[in-house]
Amino acid sequence: MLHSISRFFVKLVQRYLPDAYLFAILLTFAAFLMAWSLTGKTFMALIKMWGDGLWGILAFAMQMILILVTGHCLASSRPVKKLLSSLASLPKNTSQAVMLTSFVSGLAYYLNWGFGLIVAAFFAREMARKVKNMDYGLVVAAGYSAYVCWHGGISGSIPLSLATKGHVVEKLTGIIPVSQTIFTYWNLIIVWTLILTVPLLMKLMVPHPDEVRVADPEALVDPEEITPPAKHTPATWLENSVAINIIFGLMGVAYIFNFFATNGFNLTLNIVIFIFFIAGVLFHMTPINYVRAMNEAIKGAGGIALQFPLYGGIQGIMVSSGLAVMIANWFISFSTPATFPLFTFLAGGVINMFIPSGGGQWVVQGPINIPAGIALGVDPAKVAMSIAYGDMWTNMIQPFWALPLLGIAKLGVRDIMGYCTITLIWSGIVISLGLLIL
Amino acid sequence: MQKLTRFFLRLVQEYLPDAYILAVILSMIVFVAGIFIAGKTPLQMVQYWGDGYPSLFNFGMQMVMVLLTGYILALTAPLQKALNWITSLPKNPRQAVGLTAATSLIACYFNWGFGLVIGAFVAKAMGARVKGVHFPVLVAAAYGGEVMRGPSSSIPLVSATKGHFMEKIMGIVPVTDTLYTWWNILISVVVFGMLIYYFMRVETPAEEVVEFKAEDPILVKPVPAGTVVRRTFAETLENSWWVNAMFGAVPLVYLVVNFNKLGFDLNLNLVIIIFLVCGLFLHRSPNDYLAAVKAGVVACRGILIQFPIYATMMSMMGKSGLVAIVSAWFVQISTPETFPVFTFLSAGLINFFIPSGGGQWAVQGPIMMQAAETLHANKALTIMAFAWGDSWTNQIQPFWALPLLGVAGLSARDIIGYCVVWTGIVGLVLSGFFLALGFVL
Repeated sequence: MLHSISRFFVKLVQRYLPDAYLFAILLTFAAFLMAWSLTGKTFMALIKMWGDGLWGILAFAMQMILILVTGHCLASSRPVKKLLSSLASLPKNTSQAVMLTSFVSGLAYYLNWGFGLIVAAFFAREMARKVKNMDYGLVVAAGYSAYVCWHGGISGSIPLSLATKGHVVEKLTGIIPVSQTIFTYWNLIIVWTLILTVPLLMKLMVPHPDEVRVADPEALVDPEEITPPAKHTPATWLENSVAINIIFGLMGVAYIFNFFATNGFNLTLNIVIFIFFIAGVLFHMTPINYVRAMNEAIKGAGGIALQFPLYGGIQGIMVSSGLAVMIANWFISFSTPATFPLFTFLAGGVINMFIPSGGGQWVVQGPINIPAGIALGVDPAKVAMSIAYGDMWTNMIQPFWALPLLGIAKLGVRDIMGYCTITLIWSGIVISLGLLIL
Repeated sequence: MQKLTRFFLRLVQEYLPDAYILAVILSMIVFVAGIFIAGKTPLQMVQYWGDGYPSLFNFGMQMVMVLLTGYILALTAPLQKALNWITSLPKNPRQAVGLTAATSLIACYFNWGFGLVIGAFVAKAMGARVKGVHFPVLVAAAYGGEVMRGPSSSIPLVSATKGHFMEKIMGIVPVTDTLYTWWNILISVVVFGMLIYYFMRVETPAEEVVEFKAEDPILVKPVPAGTVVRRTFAETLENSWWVNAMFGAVPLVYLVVNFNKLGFDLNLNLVIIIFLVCGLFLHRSPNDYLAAVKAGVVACRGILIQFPIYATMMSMMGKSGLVAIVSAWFVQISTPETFPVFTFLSAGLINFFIPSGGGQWAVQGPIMMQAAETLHANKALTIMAFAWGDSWTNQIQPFWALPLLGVAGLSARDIIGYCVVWTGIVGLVLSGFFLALGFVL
């Protein structure tokens, strides 16, 4: 049964789901046509709203790219790789291996999703090297499945954005500190339930020994490390200078320390980016290593760099034309304060299929659901987190974010999507119940 | 001149680290200077430093967009043809370098964002086509053109805008008094001539010539005609030109509306829109477009990592009072006649640490303009001296070269050696100009 469900989803996604960029275009058209026909704004007015929205989103786009690449850079540093390698020698059999992979990846996603995606890929590969006769697809899927917790973690784009000055719905909600989003008891319960139960779910899916498909040995070979040039010049000395790197890193540590000493434990998007930047700088030991890590990390950022401004345009149309308010009213018409977060979550799950970027989804969905929630008397923080849950939930069947991970693991979407579908069902139940009960 | 160029090339090759490390070292220098010159505590400096980190995110993303959309556009078939045509003109390596410099400079005259991208692609195409040309010279020549600022020069433009932030200090100075005066046009023409002359005379010994190794553009291979491909719904969309073109209509209308309003003032956002529209219409399909994005994003790496670091420097320089202190040194030794030339020099010095022209104007501009007022120096001349000083030392500051180097796949130390000599030439000639003009006007 499980097999046929997962096969169905894989087929559906591969056949009908075009690149996220195309959805950004189609959504622009949809927003345009709806605003034109429903709100009575002129064509030219809508064009102007689109343009204004486009320019309004640039700083946020930069923040999203930086959180991805700084996280990626940290994950590819030697200490992190060593730690993963030694952790990977702990498990004795396949069950333990997939559970540990899922759990460690979950912790990494909780810290930073860009970091987690790379840690999961490295760790799954390391596992496959150490544990004999293990299903490679499953262990990689275990690493990716844990991604279902990220948006409740401390790099969650939506809660961090709410805590940062100038966010998209600041006029409606003001600044909402992370103590009311990430660190509330209901979010902690939901997220940690997921981090702890997804590994068990993975254990249940371990295939029968006859059906195991082990890794292609070629997929486990490390790409060659770039050897530094033999020539020693003052320039290469500077580039490899540990001292410069550490002094620079310590300046950063001093700033971070001072920031928390004066502001309390108040995470914002900018400070999280800064922390990951500095941690990456320190962990890479020499400046040139960080540059090399960056050269790799940037390759995964093309999608966001291109799509974010388009999401900004969509948001501009929807908010300025009044379309967002109309959709919000429609939501209000059939929701009660108790069910609204659940509906928001489900809607978020659907929207995420088209807008895989969490921040991008927030830009589009936030201005709709936040005012609706306020009208119904629901805590905006809870509505925002419901959007966040929706965003992380359907990532299990939307391959956009799996691509960097699959690239490292050298697997295709088909190899992991089946397992992830099961995670989707389980996490859907956990989150829905959590939103209704807590 | 040849000997000097070779000397600086060696020096730079030996001593100049990667641009990221240079940024790190520069920020440490500012940090220490803030403590010893401006008398701030280390903790205060750390505070200024870290607070500045996110301050250029918006500008950084604009640069990413200019570069990315420009890159995407350059990979379209018509643009490749156009580049092919330009590169077929020169008959020898020397002409190739001259033509690259000229193209880049003319493009930079109209808009620097435009020019940087155009210059990079002309240099690359030239390197792929013309045999026996030293590729770093081509790239350096393209970057050399960046010294030119015309109708998109932000400092005189801002000064001419009603309600600008310094209106109380200096009033409004129309561009006819700054950009479009006989002396500024004369300076521009002279710089143009010198650029071509210098770079065409750069000699590279035959054994040291490094030709450009052309890589395959990572574009989707065309499907041979006649083959029937069965496509899923998703693939049909991804291969349809119409999807891109229909979407392109949105920014196109936006462009037309705004272009009429803004006339010839090509600001950075309009450049992005122009690149975006052209890229959308000229690529065969969304699939090709996405392949171009994949290739292009790699060139943005320097901007992403280094813009925030330069933002920290700007924050430290401004908030610690370093800019005010350094400016005061120059003001002290000035007379009304020599004030423009000292403005030029001080702007050039501070620009090394605050490469963003607008950012520097915001921090240093008020100080210099206040001084010009007190000294009764020529205001229009001071504005232009500031603007030229700002673009002058960009030549030895890899910050603006990042997009270009990203496209060319070179490191800063490959080109900065040529640029050092070029900076020297420009500095001497422009100092002479502003000194003379200070007495004449």
